[in-house]
Amino acid sequence: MNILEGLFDRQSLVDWLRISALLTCVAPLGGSLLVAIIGRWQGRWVKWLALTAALLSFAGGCGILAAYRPIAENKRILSDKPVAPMLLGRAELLTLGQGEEARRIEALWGVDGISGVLVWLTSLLTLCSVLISLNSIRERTEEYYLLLLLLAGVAMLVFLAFDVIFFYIFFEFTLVPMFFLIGIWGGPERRYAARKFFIYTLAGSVVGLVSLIAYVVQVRELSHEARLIRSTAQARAETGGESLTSLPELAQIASQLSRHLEDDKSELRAKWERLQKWTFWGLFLAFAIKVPLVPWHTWLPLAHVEAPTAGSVFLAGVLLKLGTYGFLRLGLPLVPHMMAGVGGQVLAVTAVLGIIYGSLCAAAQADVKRLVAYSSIAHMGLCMLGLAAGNSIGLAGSVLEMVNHGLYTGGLFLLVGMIYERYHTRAMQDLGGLARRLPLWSFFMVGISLASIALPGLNGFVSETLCLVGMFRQSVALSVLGASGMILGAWYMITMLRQVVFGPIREPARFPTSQTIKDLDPWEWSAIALPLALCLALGVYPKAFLDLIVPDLEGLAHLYRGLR
Amino acid sequence: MTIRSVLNNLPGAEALCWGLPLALLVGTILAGIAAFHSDVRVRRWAHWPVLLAIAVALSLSLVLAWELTQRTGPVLVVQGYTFLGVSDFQVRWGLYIDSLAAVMLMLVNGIGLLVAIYSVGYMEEDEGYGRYFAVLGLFLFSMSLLVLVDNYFLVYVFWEGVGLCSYLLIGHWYERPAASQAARKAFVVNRIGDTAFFLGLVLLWYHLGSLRYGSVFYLVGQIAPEWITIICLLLFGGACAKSAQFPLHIWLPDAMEGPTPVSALIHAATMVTAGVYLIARSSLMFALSSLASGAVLITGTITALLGAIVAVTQYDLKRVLAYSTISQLGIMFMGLGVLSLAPELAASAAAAVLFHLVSHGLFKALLFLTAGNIMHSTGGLIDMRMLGGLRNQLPYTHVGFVIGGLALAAIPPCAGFYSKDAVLALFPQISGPEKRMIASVFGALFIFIGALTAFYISRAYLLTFWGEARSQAEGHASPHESPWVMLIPVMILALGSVLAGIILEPTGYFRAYIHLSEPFGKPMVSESEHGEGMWIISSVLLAMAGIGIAFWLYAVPRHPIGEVPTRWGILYTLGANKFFIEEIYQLMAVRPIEMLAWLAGWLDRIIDGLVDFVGWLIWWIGRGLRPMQNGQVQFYALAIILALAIFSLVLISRWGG
Repeated sequence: MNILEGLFDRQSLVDWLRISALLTCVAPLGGSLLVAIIGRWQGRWVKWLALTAALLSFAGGCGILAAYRPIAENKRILSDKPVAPMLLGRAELLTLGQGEEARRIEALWGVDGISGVLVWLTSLLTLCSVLISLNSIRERTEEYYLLLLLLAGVAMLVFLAFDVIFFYIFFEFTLVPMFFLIGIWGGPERRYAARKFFIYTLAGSVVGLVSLIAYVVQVRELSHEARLIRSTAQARAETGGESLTSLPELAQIASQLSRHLEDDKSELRAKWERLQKWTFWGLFLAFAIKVPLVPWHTWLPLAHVEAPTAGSVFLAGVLLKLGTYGFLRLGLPLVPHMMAGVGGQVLAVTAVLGIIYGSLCAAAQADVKRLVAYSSIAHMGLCMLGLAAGNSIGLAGSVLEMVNHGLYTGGLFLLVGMIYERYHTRAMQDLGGLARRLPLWSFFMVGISLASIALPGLNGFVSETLCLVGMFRQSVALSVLGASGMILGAWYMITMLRQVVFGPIREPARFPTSQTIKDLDPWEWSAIALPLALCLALGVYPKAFLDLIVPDLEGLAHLYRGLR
Repeated sequence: MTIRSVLNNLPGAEALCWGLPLALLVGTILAGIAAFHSDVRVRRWAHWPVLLAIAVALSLSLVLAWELTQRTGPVLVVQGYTFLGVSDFQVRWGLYIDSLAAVMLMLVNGIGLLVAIYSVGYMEEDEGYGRYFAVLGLFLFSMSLLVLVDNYFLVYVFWEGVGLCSYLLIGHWYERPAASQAARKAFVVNRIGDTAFFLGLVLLWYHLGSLRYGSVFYLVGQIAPEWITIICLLLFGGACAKSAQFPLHIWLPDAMEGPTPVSALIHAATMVTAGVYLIARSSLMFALSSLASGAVLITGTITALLGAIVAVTQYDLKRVLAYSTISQLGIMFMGLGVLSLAPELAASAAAAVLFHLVSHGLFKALLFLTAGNIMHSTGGLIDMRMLGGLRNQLPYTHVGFVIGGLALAAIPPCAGFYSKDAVLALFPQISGPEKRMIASVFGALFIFIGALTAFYISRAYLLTFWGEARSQAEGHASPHESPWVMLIPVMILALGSVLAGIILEPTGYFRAYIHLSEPFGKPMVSESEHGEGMWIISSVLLAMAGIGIAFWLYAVPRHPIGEVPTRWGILYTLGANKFFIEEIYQLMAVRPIEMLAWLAGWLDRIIDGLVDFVGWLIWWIGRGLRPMQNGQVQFYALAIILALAIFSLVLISRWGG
């Protein structure tokens, strides 16, 4: 990376970052558009087009990481700016007033370490999803790839948006392609599952939107009332007026308010806390359903079981991260008192509940895909546990867990999909001893499962350790309870391995052994080798990602150190 | 109590330290590639990279061990890059080589090499030949680093690493239900201990802000005593699982489903001693908490007794040896538990226990490999009721087993005699009237366990090698002696089991070597006579008596096999059923958790039903607005856009003026 630094000055690094970010999200969106145009009469080219778009997007994702690394190394940590991305572009939508009094509603695009790794993860999972779909999706292919690429592009835009309006638009818009992916290419109960997924998560986020509106409107007034003149004047001088919806600016106001009103006992302080309280619960409803936290999780196993493989990969790998990312991006900076107080405690307790309850439910499942779905709930609980800790160790663990969970749970869904493709069943009692029949598949299955149960040397271990250690600082009891997930996780995953991979061979009755079930083909092979290789790489050298993530968390961690 | 780090003498020392694990890693990767190769001839070559790597690792450990004696500050600390670091949670790669680590390295790689050579013969016709050697290499890599690294966090990393290898090797013949079941059990039980270990080290970091040995040993006195006790108990929880101590020992007997060389290497000589290593490494910490080291002493005693009693009643030769391993590990923990009565004995206890660890590694590996020879030559028979009379058919194996058995029974001049009595000699050294009383009780129990040990190993020997050849009577083929590639490792181990004691103990070499390094360097009491002689003589006499009774019962088959023990009534029933511990676990732990999981599964349906109910309720209330609930996604998209429009309107109305 030092070579990069030597070759390019800061400005060209930003240019590289901009080009990479553009490539990452334009490739799938453009690909989707192209599929829509040529799909009608060039149906057989569609999948290769999708593959090209996914490859380009992944290249862009890697470019973001490479270009951001020197920036992260030299990042100046500004303690009063909890959200300080490298802004890549802005577009004014609306300006009210003039000069220094101007108030703008604008779209802000940017990258920081956190969104960088998540965009990279999305581009990687897009590639895996396309690879796994090449042979398994045979009907309505053009519509399928159109929706898949659209979903990928929109999800990346969520991570790149640094203003509340576009964050919200794209956050909601991911529901639409996913709805159709489940509803059209899903299993027997796909309509019910898709509808439930859509309405449930939409209901939550509408409440979130309302509270966001209230927050944006009121926090300005509060900051005027508190006479935070210096900072607002400074901000105006910098940007030429106030940006109403800019996330970095909102976060700065919130952090200044919190600091300013720390020892204040006035009405103002009470008002600020009231605002935070309502906003928190609104956001909580939106994101808790999305994560999902127990007991708002019941849409998830259903959606997973019914979704096609790529849909599950995307759902677990990316869409759930929107919930935790929402807590991280909006919750932590905007409502600091709540997140440092009652709200954080509620999150931590629900997170632990999720770990234990999700693991127990996973152990009770007879369907491998349901098992993975419930394990996903437990792992997201772990992620939220680190987030609720609010210190840099826990937060780093949480962000890393988002990436790691995407890699190994995405991998698990890919592997389960491969089995379903071959046997048309996922029931554990119908399967057994597949190590004999599908050695390569079994190798990947064992490897990814071990990553999922946090075996040292693989990625899950690093993030799990950081989440638990971070929480240990805040609450020893919750951390110890959360650690029980280590045992329960090993129990259900290893039991599943014993049943499906090891033991005497057992195949569904309608598949006589004479019929040749083939091991992984090259497409499947490459779809799963990529996540496993990255699991190993991130397990052995987690510093590669921590160096990107941690500088952008220091501001938040600093804010929370002050509040506790 | 400062730990001096010396890096100046030899510039190559650092490279040597890293070269050792690196060689093993390269060997493992090459074997792994070979294992997945489609050509069967390539797979058959998978042992070469591993064998070479172990040979390199063994020579490097010998060089390092010698290097330590040449230094003034005999601890070699090597630092590497940061593995994991966020704010003040920093873990760096680093190696810490003192005499404890050097001894463990020599043991691990020495026995590792012999077992790997043996495996070339033993696994010859196995389908998973390449896979076997790849995992074996991975095990030696993890185990070497486990004893090499310089902080508790990395110990945990490789602690789980060796656990993984154990899991994979127990389940090597994965198609056997028993093997896959045993592998799962080993993994899950070890995970319980590992979680305790993990929490212990997080707690340690929480109090000290560092997990490196140097800082921990230096700072540990600053922690409040009750926290030290908790940390030590948690670490001991990890040791209990890995070293198969009561009540987490249940996985080890089942682990015998793995290939026998694996049982010799991992489940007898090396991996299971990791717990002993951990406690010995932390003996400074345990010396500060008499409660925690008392738990070590009592757990060790219970385990040693229980293992020996169960070993008396088993008919599966490998299970006898497994329970014997459990019992011997218990003895090592008894030695370490002496710290609770006399913290000043820390250095002597560590030296004595480590000596027993080494000699046990030699003779137990020997016993397992001879058992492997028996299985190899009889086509997999291991039930002693089916064996018998192998004395003449397998002469070399017979001699190996006799030597291993004598060493286990602690008959002079075998290694087991010296090492076990070094541990026994700790008890009379305890001073203070009340403590002497307690120590005498434990010393007496120790001797009794020794007698039981002599009895069960003689019983196993007689049932297997004496009497009539029952296997042929059952229609099995006539046993034949194993090939040389399997016999030579047996002979080397036999030689070691005889000579290690005579060379190392009376000369005091071993103790002096261990005392080279801190914190094992200061025997605070003079190692004079405290009447150990009496204890040792009675120990040998009782062991002889044990052997005598076994010969009286089993040498001449006066009773049909299986009838002898029925006269022992309830004790036999308990032993033969392994004290019903499995059943208790089923009842107290496994069933309740399964019930909980089942309940959670049901609860989930109820929660889901509630969600649906709320949805239905809203739908029902909003029936009047039915045209809006048309279930069309376009409609919802419209709703989103509408909401955003309202949002913008609100903003405009606020600041629009």
